[in-house]
Amino acid sequence: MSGEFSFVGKRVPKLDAPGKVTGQTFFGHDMKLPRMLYGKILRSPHAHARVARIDVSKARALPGVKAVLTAADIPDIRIGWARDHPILKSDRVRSVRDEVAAVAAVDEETALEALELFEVEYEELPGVFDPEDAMKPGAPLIHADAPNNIQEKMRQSYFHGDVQKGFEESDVVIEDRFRMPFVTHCCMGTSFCLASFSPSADLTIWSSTQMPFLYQRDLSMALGMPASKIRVIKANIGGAFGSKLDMYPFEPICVLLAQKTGRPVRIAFSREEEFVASPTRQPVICDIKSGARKDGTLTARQVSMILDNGAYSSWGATTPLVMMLTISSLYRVPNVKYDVVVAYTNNPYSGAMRGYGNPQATFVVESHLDMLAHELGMDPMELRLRNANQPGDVTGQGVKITTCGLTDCIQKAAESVSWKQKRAKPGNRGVGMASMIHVGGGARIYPSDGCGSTVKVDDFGKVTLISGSTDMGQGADTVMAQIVAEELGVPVENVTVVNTDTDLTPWDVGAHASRTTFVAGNSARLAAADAKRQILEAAAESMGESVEDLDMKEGRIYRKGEPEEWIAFEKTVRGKHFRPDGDVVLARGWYEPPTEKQDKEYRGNISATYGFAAQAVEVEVDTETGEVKVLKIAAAHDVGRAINPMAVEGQIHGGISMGLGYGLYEELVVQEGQVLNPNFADYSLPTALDMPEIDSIIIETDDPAGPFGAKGMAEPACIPTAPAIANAVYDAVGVRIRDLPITSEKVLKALKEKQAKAEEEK
Amino acid sequence: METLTMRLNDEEVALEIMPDALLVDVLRDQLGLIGTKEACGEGECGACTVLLDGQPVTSCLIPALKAQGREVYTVEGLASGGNLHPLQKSFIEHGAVQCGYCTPGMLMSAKALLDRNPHPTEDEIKEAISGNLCRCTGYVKIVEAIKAASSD
Amino acid sequence: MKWEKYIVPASLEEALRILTEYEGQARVIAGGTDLVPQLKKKERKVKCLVDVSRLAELKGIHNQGGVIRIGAGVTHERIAASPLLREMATALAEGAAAVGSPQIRYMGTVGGNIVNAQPAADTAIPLLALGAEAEIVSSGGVRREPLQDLYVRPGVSRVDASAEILVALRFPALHGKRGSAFARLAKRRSLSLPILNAAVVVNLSMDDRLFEDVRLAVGPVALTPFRARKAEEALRGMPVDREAIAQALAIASEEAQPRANPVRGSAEYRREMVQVLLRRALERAVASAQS
Repeated sequence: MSGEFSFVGKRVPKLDAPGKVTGQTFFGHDMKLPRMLYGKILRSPHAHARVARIDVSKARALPGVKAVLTAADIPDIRIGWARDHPILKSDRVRSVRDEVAAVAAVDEETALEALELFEVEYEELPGVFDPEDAMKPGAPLIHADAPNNIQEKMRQSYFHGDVQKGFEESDVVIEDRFRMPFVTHCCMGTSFCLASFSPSADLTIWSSTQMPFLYQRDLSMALGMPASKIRVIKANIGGAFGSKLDMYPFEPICVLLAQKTGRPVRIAFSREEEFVASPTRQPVICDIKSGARKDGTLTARQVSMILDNGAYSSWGATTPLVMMLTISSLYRVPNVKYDVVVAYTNNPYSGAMRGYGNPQATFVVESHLDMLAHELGMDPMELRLRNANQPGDVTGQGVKITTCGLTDCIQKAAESVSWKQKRAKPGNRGVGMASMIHVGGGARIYPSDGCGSTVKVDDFGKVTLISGSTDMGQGADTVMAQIVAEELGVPVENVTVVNTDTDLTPWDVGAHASRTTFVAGNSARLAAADAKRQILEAAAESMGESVEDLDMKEGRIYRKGEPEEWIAFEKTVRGKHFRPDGDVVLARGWYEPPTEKQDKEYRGNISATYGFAAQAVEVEVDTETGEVKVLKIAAAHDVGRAINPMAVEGQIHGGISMGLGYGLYEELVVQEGQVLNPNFADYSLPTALDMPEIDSIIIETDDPAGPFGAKGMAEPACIPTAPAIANAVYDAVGVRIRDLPITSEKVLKALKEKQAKAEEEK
Repeated sequence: METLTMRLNDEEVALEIMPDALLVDVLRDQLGLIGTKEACGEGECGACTVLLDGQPVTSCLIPALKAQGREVYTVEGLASGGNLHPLQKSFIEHGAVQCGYCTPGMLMSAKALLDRNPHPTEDEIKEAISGNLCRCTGYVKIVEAIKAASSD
Repeated sequence: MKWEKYIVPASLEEALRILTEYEGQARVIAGGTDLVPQLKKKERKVKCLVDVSRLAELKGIHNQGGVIRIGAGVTHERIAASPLLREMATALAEGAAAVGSPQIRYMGTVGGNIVNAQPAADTAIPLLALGAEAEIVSSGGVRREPLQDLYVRPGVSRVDASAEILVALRFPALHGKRGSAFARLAKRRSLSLPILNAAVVVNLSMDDRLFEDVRLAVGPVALTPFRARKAEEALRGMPVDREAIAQALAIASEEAQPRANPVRGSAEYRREMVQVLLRRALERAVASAQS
C-alpha cells in the first residue's frame, strides 16, 4: 500500500537527531542568557501545617541574592483548573511540595545556600493521606470550601443502559477491588523554566510546556498581564509524557522573580525535587462489577472509583473523562455505570501522564475481563474476540467507531506469542493479553481542538512548515515534514519544521491525547495542499496548461502522464515571485476535527477516530521468590497508517517500557505525604537489561479522517502492558494481583495463600 | 583556584578551576561542552557519562582534579573533521534518538564498549548500557543501532 | 565548598603524611562513588581529599602462595573480569559484577565499598564469606583485621578514613574441594540496591559427600554484613543433601533479622528470601566445589 507514496510509510530519520547525537542541540537546561539569575524554591517539609511566620531577612542579606519572594509580596494568585492552587503559600501548607518562598541569586550554589537561611515557623496539623479516610467525618479539612474534602467539580456519574437489569440477565457476575499507585514521569530532563522581560515589559518565557497557547493564557490570567505581552517559546525538552501539560507554581514564580529583579531567571529542578514536586500519575482505588452470559456475551460493567486528588487540583482529577471511554466503550457492553468521587488529601497532586487515566482504567477492565473468562471457563482471547468493537459501532457513550483493527490486533498479538500452544499449560510460564481503545483523532476537551499551519516555500525550494503543534521528542516534527513533503510533492529533505513560538506559530491546543499526528498532520496537509495549488497555478499560467493537467512530485512539475519532462518547482516559484505583479508562495491550513464536545451526561463523539491495540505477553514466574520475568511482548497497534514506521516502533517500544515499569517495577512510595524514594536508585525504571523481546506489529486500517490514513498512537503503547502482564501471571501460576506494581513479594504471598487454601480444601 | 590539565577530545587543555569542581560542571559551564547532560547528579542514570582513560564514568561524581593529566572524551569528540562517528550515524539511521537527553551518555557507553569489544553480542550491548536510563525509546533501537555500528 | 584541596599523592607515604598534616580534616578518596554524593549533600565535611586511586600499593590481584591479595584500590570491574578471581573466588567476581552499573563498576573500588560500611555491599558480603582480612596502614604502622571487625553500623567503619588507608584484602584462594557462589535479589537487573545479597563458600570432603566447612554471608539482615554462624555450625560435618541444607537454612533465617524497608521489602519477605538465596548460592557453590 505504501508503494504509492514517496515519503509516507518511509523510515525517515528524525530531523533533529543529528543535533542530538553531536551534543549540539540546546536543551532548556543548557540555555544561558546574559545576567541570568538562578531561582530556587523553598518547599514545605510538612504535609499539613499552619505557617506562623516567615523571616526572609537572612536569605535576602546573603551576598549574591538578588530577590526573595513570599506570598506576602504578591497578590493571591491561584492556578489550576479549579483555582485552588496558590503559587506561594501564605498561611497554610497542605503537602510536602508546597512552595513557601523563592529566591533568585547569581548562581545555583548561592540560591541553595539562601534556601537554608529562610526561617519558617510551622505549626504542624494532623494530615490525611488516604482518600477514603479523607472523606470520613472528622477528617482534617484541607480546603475550607471543600466539605468532607471532596472535589465536587469532578464528582461524576455516567451510565448507559441499566446495569441492574444487565446483572440480572447475567450467568456470571464477579466483583473486585483494584488499586493503582503513585508513579511518576521521570523525564530525563527535569522541569525547567526561563523567564526574561524586555525593557518594555514584554515577557519571553522558554518553557518545556506541551501546550504553549494555553500556557500563555494561564500565565496571563495568573499574573494579570495581557497575553499579547507574553511570548512562549519551546525549549528542547528532555521528555514530557504529560508532565508539562499544566502550569505549575514554579513557573509564575520564575516570572515574578524575573519581574522583580529585572533580569532573566532560570529555574531547573534537581532530580530529587523532580520526584518530590512534579505531578504524578493519578492513583486510583477502583471497585468493579462485571457480568456476562455463559456464551461469553458481556452484559454489564459497573465501576466506581475513588481518586486521591492530593492537596491541589491538576489534570489528574480529570482523568475520569478519559477513563470513561474505556469503561463505556472497550468491547461491546450494553449496560454500563461509572461513578467517580475525587477527594483531597495531603499527598502529592497528580497531573496528566501518558494515557491520561487509560492505563488505570484498562488495568481494571482488562484484568476483570480475564477473570470473567476464567469464571466462564473460556479462553480469554475468545471472550475478547466475541465482544470486540467493530467498524461502524456507535457505543453507549455515543462514540462513533470508524476504522477499527481490534480483532486483527488481538489475533496477531496472540499468534506472535503462540497463544494457543502456551495458554493454560502446567509449569511456571504463562501468556496473557489485554487490549485497549484510546482517542486517535484529537479529543475535544476545550472549545477548540484545532491546529493552524503555515507553509512557506522560498525561492530556493526550501519549504518551511510553521506549525502550532509541539514536538516533545516523540518525532511529530519529522512526521509532519513527511506529510508536507508527500502532499506538496517535494523531497522531505527540503522541509523544515518550526514550532512552538507563540509569536510566530498559529494556534494549537497542545500535544496531548495523541492528537499531534492527526490534527497537526491534517492541518499541515491542508497548508501543503494550498501551497501546491499556488505553485501549480503559477506553473499552469507560465506553461499555458490547465492546472488539472499538471502534477508535482519530489520537486518536479510535469504534465500528468509525462513525468520525464519536468521543471524544477523552485524555478516556478522564482518565476512567480520576481516580476512586477509577482507573489510569494505562502499557504495556510486550519484543521478542526469534526467532533463534538460531550453533553452534560458525558455523551458525545469526542474524537474523529479511535486507536486500538492489543498486547500479548509471555512471562515466567519464579515460584520461590515471586519474581516475574517477562519473556516476550507482542504489541499489535492499529495506527491507521504508519507515516513513519520507525517512529511508530519507537513509540511502541518506549510505551511498553513505561507499561512494564507500571506493571512490575515502579512505585512512588508516599508515606504520611513524604516521598520515600525520590531517586533513581530506589524508583526502579526499567533498564536495558529489563526489557523483554518485543514484537511490534503495525496494523493499518487507513482511516479516512486521518492525514494519509494515520491515527494517533503514542499513548496507546503504554496502556495494555500492565494488565497483559497481570493476566499472564495468572495463566502462569494461578494468582491474581489486583494492585500495582506486581512485586515479587505480592506474588509470593499470593502463591502461599493459594497453596494454603488448596491444602485446607484437601 | 587550581590548574587542571587534561587531554580532552584529543586536545591538550589547561584551565583554572575551583578545587571542588566536578568534571560535569567544568565540561558544561567552563568549557562550553554542553553535550554532556546532568539528569540526576547522583551517578544513578548515566546521562553524564564521559570516557576517562577510555572507561565510561559518571562525570557528575568525578572531582575534576581526578582527571589531572588524564584523557577525557565527551560526545563532542566523537565526530572528527565534520564526519560523524559510525555510532552517531547508526543512532540517526536506526531511530535511536527521541528526546535526546540520554543520547550523549548512551553514545559514550557504546563507544567504550566497541573500543574494547568490537563485535559484542546483544546481551553484551545491553549490559554495557545498563547504567544509562532512557524513558523514551525502551532501548530497543539503541541496542539495534549499536549492533549495526559494530558490524561496520 | 565541598572540599578546599584535592591532592593526588605520588606514594603511600605522601598520602599518609598529608592525612597526618590535616589532623582529621582530610579524607581518603578512591573512586568517590559513595563519598562524592555524601559531600554534595553535605552529609560529611572535609577540607582535603587525598586521592589514592592510582597508588601502586593499592592495585593488583595476585595469588601469593594460595592467598589472594587484592589491592583496596582495585575497581569492581577489574575484580569481575579477573580470570583468577572467577576461578578461585567466584562469589567475589560475581558480587563485583552485580555492583550498580558499568560506570559505577569502573569507578568504584573494593576498598571504598568496605569503608562505606553498608551491610549489603555486593563485594563485602562475598569477602566476608571468604574470610577476608584487611591490611590497614597509618602513620602508626600496619595492622591486619578480619573484615567483619571493620563494620560498626551502616555508614560507620572502624577504618578512620581521615587517618588510615585500607591497602589490601587477603583471603585463601579456593581450590580443590572448595567452591563459592553469590546470589542477589533486586527489583530490577541493574542500577539497583539489593533486597538481599548472599555469598556462600563451601569446603567439601574429598568424596564430595560431606560439608567440611561452610560460610554463609548475607545482607542486609543486620547492622553489619552478616554471617549465619549457627547455620554454618549446623552444616559442618553434615551430608551434602537437601534435608541437611533445608534444616540449616531454616536456622539461618531465624538468625538473620532483616528490618522492614518500605521501599525494598518487608521483614517477612526478606527473612524468607534468606533461605531461598542461600540455598541457591549453596547449590552453585557445591557444584563448583565438586567439579
